[in-house]
Amino acid sequence: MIRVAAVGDVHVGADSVGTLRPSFDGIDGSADLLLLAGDLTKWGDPAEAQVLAEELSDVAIPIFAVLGNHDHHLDRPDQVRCVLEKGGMVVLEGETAEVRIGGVSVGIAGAKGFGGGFTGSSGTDFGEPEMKSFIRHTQAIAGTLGSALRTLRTEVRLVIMHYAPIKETLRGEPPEIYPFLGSYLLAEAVDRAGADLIVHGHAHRGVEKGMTPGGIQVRNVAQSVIGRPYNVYHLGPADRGRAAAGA
Amino acid sequence: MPDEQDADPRYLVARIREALTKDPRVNELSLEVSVSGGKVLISGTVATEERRRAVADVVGELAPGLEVRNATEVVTTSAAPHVEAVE
Repeated sequence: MIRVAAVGDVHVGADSVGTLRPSFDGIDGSADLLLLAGDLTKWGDPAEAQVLAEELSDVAIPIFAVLGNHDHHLDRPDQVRCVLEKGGMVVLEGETAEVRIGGVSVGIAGAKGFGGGFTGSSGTDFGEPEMKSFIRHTQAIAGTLGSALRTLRTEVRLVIMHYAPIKETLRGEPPEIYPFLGSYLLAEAVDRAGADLIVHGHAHRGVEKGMTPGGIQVRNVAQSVIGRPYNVYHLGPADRGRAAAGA
Repeated sequence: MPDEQDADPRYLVARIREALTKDPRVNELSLEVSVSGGKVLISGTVATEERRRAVADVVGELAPGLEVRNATEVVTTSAAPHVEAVE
């Protein structure tokens, strides 16, 4: 069994010092890895990323993250990423990482994702350059994420994104803004490549649980949705992994 | 911005939401805003108590003639993590 801790949308700012550290105490005993589903900072200031890195500096399990829209606002995502990586986190954007947990190989693919909407009411790359650019950004990210995921040959495959791949986890959000909250292209890419679990954030008023059309479990782990510092998802047979070994 | 309190409430709601998104004291996109009877009601969650208090400041500066009812809450993180076996 692999124990996956996940949370998104922690929106760390200078005023967050001391607020996260206590709630992550003990995570090493209850999870094998931690996934951060974007919007890690309040508005994309590298100094905010430094606060997050320090708040999580006592977490000993591997941390994998994607950036969200807030992390892009000051147009310094590369610096935000750099600070997080110096803090020991692995930041993924159309990339993969692999880790062994108690003899089980685990692959993680991650990307920010983007909007565009869901089947039956989605945007198309047609018309003005701005509209084409909007949808093509999502298409490019979905394509890169799918390609990255297909390279993984691990026993367990996890996907992190910030934007939502399905509309089921958006219930509670105004339907008018669904196209700004996610895109079916993200789900389609993962369904084609295959995965065991997708976690995402971004939809603060949504719900936690959903499933892609291809049957892959989806969890919206935005902190305001789960109402906890993080949730833990157990995957795979109980007789495999570190928890089974009692480590 | 002058005379915001005299604007059509539907447009005022949009301006307040935009301010709460862009103002670095808050930077929150998901707050709900309604204007009625000379009052502004803001609800939803923010990450910290400092940002919760700043919501009232940002709205008060934008629409000084309106009474601000700040019903925002700081997101809960004190509960124990929930564990789910995903099948």
